[in-house]
Amino acid sequence: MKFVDVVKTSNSNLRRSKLRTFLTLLAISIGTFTLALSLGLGQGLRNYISSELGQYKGVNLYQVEKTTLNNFSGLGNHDPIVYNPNKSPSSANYQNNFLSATDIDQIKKVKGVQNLELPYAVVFDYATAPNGTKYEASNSTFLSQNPLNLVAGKTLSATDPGSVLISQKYLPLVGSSDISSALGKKLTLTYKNAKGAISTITLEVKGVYEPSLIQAPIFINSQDAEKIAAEQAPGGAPLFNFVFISKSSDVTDVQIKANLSNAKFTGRSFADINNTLNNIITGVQISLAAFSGIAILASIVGVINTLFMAVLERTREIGLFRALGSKKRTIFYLFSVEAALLGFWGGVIGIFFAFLAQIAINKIAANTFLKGVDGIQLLNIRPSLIVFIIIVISIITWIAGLLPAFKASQVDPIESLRYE
Amino acid sequence: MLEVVNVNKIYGKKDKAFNALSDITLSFEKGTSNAIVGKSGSGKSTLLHILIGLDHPTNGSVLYDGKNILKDMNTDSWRGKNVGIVFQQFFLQPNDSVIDNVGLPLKLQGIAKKKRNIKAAEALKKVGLEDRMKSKANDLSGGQKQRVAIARALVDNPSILIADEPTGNLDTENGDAIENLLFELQKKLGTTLVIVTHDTDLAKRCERVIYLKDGKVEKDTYKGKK
Repeated sequence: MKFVDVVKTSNSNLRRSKLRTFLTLLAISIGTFTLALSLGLGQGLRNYISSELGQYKGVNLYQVEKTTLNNFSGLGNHDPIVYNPNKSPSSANYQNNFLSATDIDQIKKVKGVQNLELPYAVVFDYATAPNGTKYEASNSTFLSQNPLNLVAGKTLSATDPGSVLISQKYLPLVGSSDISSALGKKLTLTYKNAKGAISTITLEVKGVYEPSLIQAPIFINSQDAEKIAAEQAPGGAPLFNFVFISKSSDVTDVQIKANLSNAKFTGRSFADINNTLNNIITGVQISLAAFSGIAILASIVGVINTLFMAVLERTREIGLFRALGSKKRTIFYLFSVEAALLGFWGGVIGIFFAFLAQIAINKIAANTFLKGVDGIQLLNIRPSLIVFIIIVISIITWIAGLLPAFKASQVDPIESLRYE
Repeated sequence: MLEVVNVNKIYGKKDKAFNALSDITLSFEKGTSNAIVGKSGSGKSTLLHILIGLDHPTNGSVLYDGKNILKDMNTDSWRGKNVGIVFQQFFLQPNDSVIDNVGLPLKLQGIAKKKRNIKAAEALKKVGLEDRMKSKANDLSGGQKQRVAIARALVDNPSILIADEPTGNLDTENGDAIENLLFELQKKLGTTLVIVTHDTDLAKRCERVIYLKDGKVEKDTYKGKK
């Protein structure tokens, strides 16, 4: 029997018991639906992280902190810990996590550290637009290796006092409606010092960049950041949990991490952070897919049951086929292909509804909890994912159908022709 | 020529052993009409199943043109190409069209739809149902259904036509018509016809009648011979 005839015959056999086929397809499609959504959610988040952190690919920037952070023993619900001078203190002992001036000097001396930059944490109360409107002004200190997608102007140099970079969405803070006119405009920022006295600093916009979720909307130059951070620090000296370094070209990524580790510091590149996030998403994705797997497993029982019923119902037909010259393997193909088709159609239906759900959920998300977050598509069921799911489900149901198909192929033609 | 040589068929073992067929040797010449007659339990159905390779004899052999159908060839393929079968219960696919039912043996052999439709149409013409090609099998009368079954049996011009109680499910009028059709086509196509029946009138229309009793050939008669 030609393969195309096997497929056509198996497909038309599915239509014989419409209700039973419908219920089996419903079970498979529910499993496929949840699987598609969970994988689509993971893919959506992964894509977003890649798009955000992708600009850090190949960037020579490492976040360095004390290795003590790995020694977390809980905040307080534990027995007293005996002091051990050879063991780093618990990370819950926050003071020990700050880097001292000695620590910073030590990091600078680690072999392969080319440049060290301090991430000054400056707190502005507000920014005042030319029309008098006050806006919140969350910001970061610009690091020389920080990759920004500039849409106008220039990036900042290592120091560049008096300059600032702003996100494209923050043009109203300098009274501009278009990118090019923002360059050279003044951004007025107000802050309080450690004693509560109010000060103002005015910075000139040197560049405008594309906004993203992980980049602050305002980047101030490190020289002004250092000055303000010192004014805001209660002791006059800003504290740091971590610093940023760039490595020299004569050491590899592995070597610089090893060198930092030997000096009891932990260095993580942005690629590592990306990988960590991806690993978390993969974990979540696997967990969700496992739940979908349970639904699919339940539907497989339905497939096996459906096919065993079909074998019983079509016993005489099997006998007829054998009497007319059909080989045992043709009977086996007919039933196993029927099982695969159950998976295929169930998969198609499940994916179709998952696709509709994706459109609706993405729309709702974009208008509610993801409002204002550009570029994020919460669910992303890609064409390759669709093909993958349908093939996998078809293979799974095909495997589920092997036993009933084998049973069908072993039916005694003489007995089956007598079967009532 | 189709032959059964020293065929025995024993069901069960030891004390429960039952001889369905005992040392049967028969040959069916090409183009002849043959009837196997006997009461229920005489072994005629067992013989029929062994003849077409659906059942295996306990010992003995079935030869087609000198070759053992169970050992020297693929029995299923041989049956598909050389044997046409007409059943008492028709065994049509009720929701399929008449032409699809007739083309089924060709489909199982892997013949393309276009070609099998041409052959099925020719077979339907032979049984006078060319105008019902597109009808569903379920919409036909009993007599028409058996005609479709005959067309299905003849669709690939088999050299052997087996009919198992072909008129058993039909009224007298339709039964006679089917009988006439079977013999007419057998003569026209030169097919070896083997009818299994307990209807002695139908058997007597054959050139040869084999009487089975308790798994043995009781009598083997030829028309015109004693």
